[in-house]
Amino acid sequence: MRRLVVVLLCVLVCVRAMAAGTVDAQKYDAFWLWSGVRPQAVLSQARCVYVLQGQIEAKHGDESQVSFIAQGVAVPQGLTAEVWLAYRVHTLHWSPRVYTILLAQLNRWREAGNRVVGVQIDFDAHTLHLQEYLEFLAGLRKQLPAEYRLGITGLMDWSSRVDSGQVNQLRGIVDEVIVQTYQGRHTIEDYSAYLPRVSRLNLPFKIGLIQGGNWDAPGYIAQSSWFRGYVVFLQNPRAVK
Amino acid sequence: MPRKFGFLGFVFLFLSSSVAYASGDFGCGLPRGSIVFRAYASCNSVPFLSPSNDTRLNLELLLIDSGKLTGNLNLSHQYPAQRGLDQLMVPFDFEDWELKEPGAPADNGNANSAADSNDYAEGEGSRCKSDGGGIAAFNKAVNAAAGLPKDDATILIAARGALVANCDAKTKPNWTPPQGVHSALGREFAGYIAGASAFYGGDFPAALSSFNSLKNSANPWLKETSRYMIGRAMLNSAQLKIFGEFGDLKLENVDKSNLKVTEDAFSTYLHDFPNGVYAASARGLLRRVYWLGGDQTKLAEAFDRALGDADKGINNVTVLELVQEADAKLLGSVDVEQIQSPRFLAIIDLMQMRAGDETLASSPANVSSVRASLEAQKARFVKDPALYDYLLAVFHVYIDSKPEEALALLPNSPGQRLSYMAFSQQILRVLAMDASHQSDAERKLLLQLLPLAKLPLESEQLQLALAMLEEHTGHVDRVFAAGSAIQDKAIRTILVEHTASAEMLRQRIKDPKEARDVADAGLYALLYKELTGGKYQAFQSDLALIPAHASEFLLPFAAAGEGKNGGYRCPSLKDVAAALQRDGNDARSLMCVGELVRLHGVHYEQDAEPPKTDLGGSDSLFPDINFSRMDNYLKVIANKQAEADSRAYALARAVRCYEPSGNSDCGTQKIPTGTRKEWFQILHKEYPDSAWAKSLKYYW
Repeated sequence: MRRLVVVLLCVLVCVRAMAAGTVDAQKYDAFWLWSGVRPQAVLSQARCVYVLQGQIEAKHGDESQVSFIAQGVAVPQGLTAEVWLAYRVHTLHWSPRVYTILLAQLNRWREAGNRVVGVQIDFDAHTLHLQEYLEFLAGLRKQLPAEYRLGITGLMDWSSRVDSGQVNQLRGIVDEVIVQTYQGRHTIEDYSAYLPRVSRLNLPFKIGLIQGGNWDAPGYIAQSSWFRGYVVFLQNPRAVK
Repeated sequence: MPRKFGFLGFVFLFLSSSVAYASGDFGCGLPRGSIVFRAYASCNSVPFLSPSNDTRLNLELLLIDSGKLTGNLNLSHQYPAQRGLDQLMVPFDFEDWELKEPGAPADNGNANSAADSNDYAEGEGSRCKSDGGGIAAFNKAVNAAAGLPKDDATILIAARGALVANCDAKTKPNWTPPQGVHSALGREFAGYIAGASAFYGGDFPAALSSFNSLKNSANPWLKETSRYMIGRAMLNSAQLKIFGEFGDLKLENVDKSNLKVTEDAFSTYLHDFPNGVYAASARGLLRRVYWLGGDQTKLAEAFDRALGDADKGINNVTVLELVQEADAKLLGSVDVEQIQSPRFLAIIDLMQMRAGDETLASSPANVSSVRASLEAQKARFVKDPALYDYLLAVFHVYIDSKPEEALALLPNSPGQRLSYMAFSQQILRVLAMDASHQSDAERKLLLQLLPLAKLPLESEQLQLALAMLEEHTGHVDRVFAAGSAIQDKAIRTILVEHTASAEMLRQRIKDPKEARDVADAGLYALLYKELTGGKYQAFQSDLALIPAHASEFLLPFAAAGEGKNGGYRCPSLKDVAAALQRDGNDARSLMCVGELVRLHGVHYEQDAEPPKTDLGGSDSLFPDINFSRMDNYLKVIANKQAEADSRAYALARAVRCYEPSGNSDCGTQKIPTGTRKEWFQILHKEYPDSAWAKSLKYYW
């Protein structure tokens, strides 16, 4: 029941935010806190925060080995917001120890009194690798304790590259997909061209926006029964010279 | 450090080594065929000391020269796995740059490693990380302690093993001291466990008092370890308040007086135990002390020392980890006035000479502030004047546009061995000659350098520079001449696609010495430009150049025809060209040229011109007309006498160009929705029985 209420609340927030063309973080309640980005006052109103905690990549010099590199902030104590730990993933070939570290990080965050609800995987799934990615996600899902949700990010064109069979498979594995309307630090210029397909995704999706970027929501997004709200990627204010 | 920061330190620092890449911003497009990049450009990294390089790359190039690292590209983990034939090796994506460290343990930092059994990520900080190793060391010390009764040893080992170290828990474990230890030495070891328990539990004053009581113990392990632990307990006290609500750093909250005591404790430890078991750790923690305290003079010196020690086997971090650490803890927020180390000054100066996102490096204010900063550093480079001259020369090439002054500062002769430093000096000469239009001298220098280029990527960089010089001075034929020094396939492919004349292309295709990939690219360019550019006669005769076992992307040119199974029927492209030669408005033929592009795409970057100043960007000797399918659809739609099947197909295709998003993928023409609606209506009104009308239910 709680999740339904959350969704309804979010839809209200989203409607309020719809009119604005520039993404004003004040009007949202879910954020990414990426490495190197300083926490902002707006986080105090956060219902949900996605915090980057690690980068998993093939080890330079030996492709058979994996590096799990710490990212982002130290473990905070007793955050009120729900927390997703986010991981930038460059290789899907995880060793057992990668899972051990990830599960240990989830534990450390929980023991410090935080409401950790899930794990988000940030991986650029090229078409060629999509099936491999799905298999990887299914494996990760099995390793994650049931109380944690599993989410992924996707670029805008991702929704036009997955076929319906893959979407059905994904729905059985992940709890949400966040479709990003930006690349680097800027909103993708023709983001609106992709939105019709995004809106037809048959699995729970959120829209990822970038703070200070552009967003004009077409009405049909919020009408999708799979739409679960927005997440804003915070960025440091630009230095004024 | 990707971005440019001001000379005066910002108050924030990054906790981790990587900087704020936005989520989902993986990957680079094709590298640009250019040498000079003025802003930060990790997607266009270059193998010489450049303002545009990531600071880590510049530092690594210097470390390669001093024998601490070797570097090269590793393209095996690239997505897509197949590298584009026109993808240059230089510039390169910094992600593909891979370093090896002679003598480093193979499994260092490897998440597969069983040797490293803790469950922390690389670079993840927690004082609890030492607990596992601490138990083993304690047990060993107890077993080795002369005069310690066996019973006491058993109790102590059990007690240390029972200590649960959980540094993140909100509630502290309830630990009680071991009972039944009777010997005086046993009680000292018990006191040590009490200290460890307080330390891992976060009670640093209690930990300190335990360790202080042991610092003059007669047992050598207790004496050395407690002195080291005094430093660690003090350090943790000093940083108690530096993490904000979200775990973010608030360095202004560091306890400076505790930090001073920490520095003294570790310095004293290192003085008393210069080769002690904790010496590497103490040196690393001293770097943390300097970082927390903002003492960048000592921090840079400590990095220099650690990098210098790299091959002595006395560090507990690798050179690459030191590079990451220096990037995150020193270069991210640096006050240049504090830095004495020539190596780090150079890295910082190069970063300072970058153009920002919105600022030009050559703005007058920047020119004078960078010049003043460089001038003020002169005395600090007394041991490395060549490096200082190099930085001044970079300033004259990148910032104040005085290439002649740069040339006066750089060595005239490259010497016999091109280290990356020597290579950087000579490449800068090339850039300065280029900027001052000394083409002949530039060509001579490049040809002189090429045989000396032995380190990875040096040759590719020089070939690119020479190819650009030849192209932009109107001598692209020299690139393809017999014995040309430019053999890099990507460079030749780009020039074939964009610059070469039709006759040069035919020579490439027929030259048995030409690489097959380059010849194929030439054949594609030739046929594509002829067919789309209306050179129908030449197209028909050049079709004969297609080899017997042609590459897949050349096959459509030679195919018998398309659309046998109910689709739109096209004859062979030879017949299409012949028909267009007779009647340039022949509807079916116009549609079939469109079908070539629609069904098979445009290969290479044939339809994307590089920027004017880049490789392949000069005026082409065989220009592409920028063909778009929509041009042909519009011609057929306008021709009311066109055969019905083709005109109906043109209408349907033109409407479908906007499927599904309303954006066209058939060309850049701006066509209002009203016109698209009109096409849809004409199709259904004039050709209601055509297959194309029946299958088109919407317009977009």
